Amino acid sequence: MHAALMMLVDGRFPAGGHTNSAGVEAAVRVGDIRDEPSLRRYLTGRLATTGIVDAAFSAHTAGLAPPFDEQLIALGLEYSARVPSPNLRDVSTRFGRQMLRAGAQVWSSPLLDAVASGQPGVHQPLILGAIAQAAGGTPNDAALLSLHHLAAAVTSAAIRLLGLDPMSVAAMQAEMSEQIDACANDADLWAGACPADLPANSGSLTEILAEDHGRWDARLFVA
Amino acid sequence: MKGHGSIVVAGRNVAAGQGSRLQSAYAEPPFSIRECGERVLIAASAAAPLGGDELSLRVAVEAGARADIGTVASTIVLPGPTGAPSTMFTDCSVARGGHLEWVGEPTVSVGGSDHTVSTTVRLEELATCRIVEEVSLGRSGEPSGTLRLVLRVERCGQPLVHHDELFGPSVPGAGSVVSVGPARHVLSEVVVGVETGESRSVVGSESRAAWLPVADDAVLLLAVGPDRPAVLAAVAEVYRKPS
Repeated sequence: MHAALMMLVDGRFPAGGHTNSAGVEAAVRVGDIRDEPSLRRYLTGRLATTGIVDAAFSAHTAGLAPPFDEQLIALGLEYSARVPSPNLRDVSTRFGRQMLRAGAQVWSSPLLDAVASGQPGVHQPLILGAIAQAAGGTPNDAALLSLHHLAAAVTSAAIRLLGLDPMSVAAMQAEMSEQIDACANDADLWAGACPADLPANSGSLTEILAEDHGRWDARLFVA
Repeated sequence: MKGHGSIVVAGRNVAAGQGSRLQSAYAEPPFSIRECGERVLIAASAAAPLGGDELSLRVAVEAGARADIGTVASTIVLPGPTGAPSTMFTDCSVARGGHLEWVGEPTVSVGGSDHTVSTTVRLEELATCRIVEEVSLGRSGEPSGTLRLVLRVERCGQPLVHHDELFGPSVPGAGSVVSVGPARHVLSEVVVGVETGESRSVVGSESRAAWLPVADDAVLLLAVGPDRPAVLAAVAEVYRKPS
């Protein structure tokens, strides 16, 4: 890994990731996440569902070769079809916009230009993939970045909401590294796949609770 | 067992709006296909699916026709003698202006089974559909097997819904809200050709449901709960709720 990619891993990169709890805020409210074991169970499930889907779309985008416009449109439609919650789709394009604003100032590439000048409302995993490519990353790098962002969002949100011990949560996340790495094993396969065949792993309650969360009067996180 | 079935529904006289008819039906065991008033019903002629079974069904709704297809009874998914998984692939196409109504009785995943239900619906221009799938996770007081539900709906070649969900006690995150929490009954309903309005959600302590528009005229409704009455009540509440 090189320095440019490390900027994307760094939580201080101004892409707005700290406002995403990846569903943890809603899960805490309904009592599903209470402690470290239930947090671990949640992260395990989330990696295998939305985690895989986002990683796959990032990996595919990171592997794109020109011409880009039609491929980006097809990818956007496929991703939208996998996110039935309108709130989650909206959050994804908002995070995408924020990440693109930061990324397009730092890097430039034909793909990033195509993303920035094409239709608005590009989903975050596609933006991450385009930025990863511009920063010299492979599809596997893009998938790992996506999965790491998810793990970081879940664990840091749980620490803030439940007051869990940050060191012991970090140890838990480290213990799950092998599992996280394994989720990206198919990155090259995803890069070469037809967009319709990319994973669509999902959970009914993920969508239901995320839609409900969007309507809360007061919340700490965007999603 | 490998079994295939096929149903073709055509319009009688589309221009005159004279209703639809079952144009052809073909069924190998475990399927048998019967016309029942306005509906076409699939009855099981053998115990299936058992582990190892590969089942497939093809449904074609011709231009302007309306097909109302269902199942006579619940589908009990049982493990087979070898531990092999079973599959049920359903491929539906609805031609221009046609409508497919598919409301099946619940699929019951019995402990130890490993079953995939994959349904693809392709709609041409002006075609509509309502697809309702229900799943009971285990018989009363028993754990469920592993069940994978895949649903993909396309309109004019573009995806509207692609949902791939894995249920069971050994799936990653089982028991958490990433999966279906402690729920034992799950319903998903796709409606294309409806004025969706805004999204709605019902989050009670036991049952949760949401009305999730995926286009101006298409929606995915998801509901989970402890049992069928609770889930159907949550679905009714979502339908009633003003958006």
